[in-house]
Amino acid sequence: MLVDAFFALLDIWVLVAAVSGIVAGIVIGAIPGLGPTMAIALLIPVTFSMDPIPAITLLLGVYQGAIFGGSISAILLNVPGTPSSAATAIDGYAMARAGQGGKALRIALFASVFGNIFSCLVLMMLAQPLASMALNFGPAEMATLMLFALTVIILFGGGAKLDAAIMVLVGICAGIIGLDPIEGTPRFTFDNFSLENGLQLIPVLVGLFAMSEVFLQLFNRPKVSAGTQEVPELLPSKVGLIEMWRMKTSLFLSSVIGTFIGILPGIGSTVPAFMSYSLARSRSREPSSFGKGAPEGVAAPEAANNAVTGGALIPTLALGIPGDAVTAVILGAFMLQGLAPGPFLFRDYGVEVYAIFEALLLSSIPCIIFGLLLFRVAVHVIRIQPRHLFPAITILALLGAFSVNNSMVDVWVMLGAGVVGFLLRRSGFPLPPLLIGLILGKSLEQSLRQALLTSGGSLEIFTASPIAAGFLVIIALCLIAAVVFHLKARNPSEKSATGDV
Amino acid sequence: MRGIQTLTSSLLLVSAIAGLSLLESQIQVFSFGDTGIDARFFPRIVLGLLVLAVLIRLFVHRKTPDMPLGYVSSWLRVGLAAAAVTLGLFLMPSIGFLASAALSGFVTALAFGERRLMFSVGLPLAVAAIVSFGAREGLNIPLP
Repeated sequence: MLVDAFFALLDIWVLVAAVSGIVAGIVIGAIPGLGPTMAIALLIPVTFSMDPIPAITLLLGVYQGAIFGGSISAILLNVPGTPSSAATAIDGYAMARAGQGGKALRIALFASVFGNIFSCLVLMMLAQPLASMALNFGPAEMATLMLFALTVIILFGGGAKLDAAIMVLVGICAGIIGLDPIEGTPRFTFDNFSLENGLQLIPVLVGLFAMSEVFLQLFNRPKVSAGTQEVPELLPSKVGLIEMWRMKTSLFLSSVIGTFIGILPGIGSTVPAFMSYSLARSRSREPSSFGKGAPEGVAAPEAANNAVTGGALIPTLALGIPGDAVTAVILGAFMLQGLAPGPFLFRDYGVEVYAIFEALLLSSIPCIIFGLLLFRVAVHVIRIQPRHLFPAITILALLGAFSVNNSMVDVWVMLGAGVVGFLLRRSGFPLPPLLIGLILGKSLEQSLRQALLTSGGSLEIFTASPIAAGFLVIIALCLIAAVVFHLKARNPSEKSATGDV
Repeated sequence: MRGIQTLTSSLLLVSAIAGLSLLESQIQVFSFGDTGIDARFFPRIVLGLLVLAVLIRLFVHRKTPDMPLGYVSSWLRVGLAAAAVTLGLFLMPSIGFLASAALSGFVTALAFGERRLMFSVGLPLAVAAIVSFGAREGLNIPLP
C-alpha cells in the first residue's frame, strides 16, 4: 500500500500543488486575521478541477504553511497571525527586539517541521487501525461515539462550557434543515426545493470564517494596523543542528502533546502550544530566561501547534469526526473530492489516503526551503492594509460559495452564515463547536434513530453493547471531572472573597 | 437593553421557540409503528435543549456585566457592507458576477475608509476581473 501510494505521488502536479499550497499558506498565515481555516475555505474552489491527491495535498500544504506563517507576524510584530502563535510571540518577539528575529524565525521553522513529521508518522500508524476498529461499529456505537466527541468539545474546548453547548446545539439545529436522513421528508425547507439538500458545508464555512471576519474587522476598524508598525531588522543568522539537538527533548514532548491533544475533538492548537510552552519552562535549567527571548520558548509551542495537524486528522479521516475548525474544512474538501472520511475511507481509497499522508510528510522539504526564502517577503505581506485586503476577501467569498454547486442559494446561505457568525463572534460565542455540531448532527441523528428503531424504542441497545456502554461511562466520567474541576476552581476564589470581606 | 450577549442569546431563544412551534407544519411524519422515532423526534429534542440552555444562560448571566452593543458608526459600517453584498446578490443574475462582486468590494473598501479611487474602485474591479476570468477559464465555473 505504502509503495503504491508513493508511486501515485510521482506526478509533477502533486509537487506543484504542495509547493503552491505551502507558499500560499505561509503568505496568508503571516497576515494577522487570516488563519488557515479561512485560507483553506477560500482556496477550495481552486481544487474542483484537480485530481484528489494534488487537490488535498494543496490544501494540507496551506494548512502546514499557514500555521508556520502565523509565527512570522507573532515573532516580528508581536501580532499572532493565528491564535496558536500567541505562545510563540512571548519569546519570539523578545528575540526579535534583541536583533535575533532571523534566528527566532529559523528555530520556529525547524520546530514546525519536526512537529509536522512526528504527527504525520503517528497519523500513518494510528488512523488505519482506528478506522478498521470503527468498521465493526453499529448505529448504537456510532451514536455514543459522536455524543462523546460533542461532550469533549463542550467540556474541554476552552471558554464557557454553556456557550460551547449552545453553539453545538445551534450547529445541530442548522443540520436539521433539508431532507430527513431516515424518511426523506423535507424539514424546515419552507417549500424551497433548493434547501432540500440542506445547508452545504462550504458556503456555511466561508460565511462563518471569511465573511464574518470582514464584518468583524469593519466593526472594530483598527486605527493603527500591523502595516504601520515598525518591523525589527532581520540580521543574518544561522541555527545549527547542534542548537536544535539541544532542544530535542522539548521538541519531542511538545510534538507528543500537540499530536495527542490534536486527536481530541474541538481543542485546536492554542491549548497544546501554551501547554508545551509551560512544560518547556518548567523543565528548563533557566526558567527565568523564558519571556525574555529563550529559543526553547519559540521551539516548544511551534512544534506543538504544527503537531496538531497530523493529530487532528486522525479522528477526521478514520471516524469522520473533525478535530478542529481547520480539519472540518479539510473534511469538506475530502467529501467534495468523493473521498468520504470515515471507517470506509481506508478500505475504499487506501492508496489515495496514504499518498496524501506521504505528501504531507514529504512536504516538510519544500516547507523548509520556501519558509527560509519567504521570511523577507512575508514582512512585506504583513504590511497589507485591511482596507485593501478585506474587499478582495469579500469577492473571493462570493466565488467560493457559488462554485460549490453553481447555485445562488449557496451564496445567500454564505451571506446569512456571515451575518450570524459576526453576531456570535461579537457576542463572544465560539464558532468551532457550531461547525462541528453542524457536521456531526446529521450522522448523530441517523445513528441514534437507527439504533432506537432497531430496538423498538428501547434504550437498552446502548447498554447492551460493551463499546456503546463504554463510551457512555467515559461521557459520565468526563462530566464528573468537569464538575469537580469547576468546583475546585470556584472554591479558592470564594475563600479569597470571604477573606477579603 | 443590557448588551450584545443578551441580545444574541434572546435572538437564539426566539429562533429556537419559533422552530419548535413550526415543527408540526414544517415536518411531515410517516409513522414507523408506535415507537415515536419519527422525523420530528430529533429536532424536538435538540430545539428543546437549545431553549433550555439559552434560558439557563440568560438566568446565570442576568447580573453579570454584558459586552456593550458598540458605537452606531460601527454598526453602520457593517450594515453598509452587508447591504452592498445583499444588493450585489440581488443584481448578480442580471448584471453578472464581475459587476456585482466589484460593487460589493467597492462598498466594502469605502466602509473600511478607503477614499483613493485607485484602491476603492480600481482594486476591487481588478480582483473581481481576475477572479471571474480565472473561474471561467481555469476552473470552468459557469458564473452568472
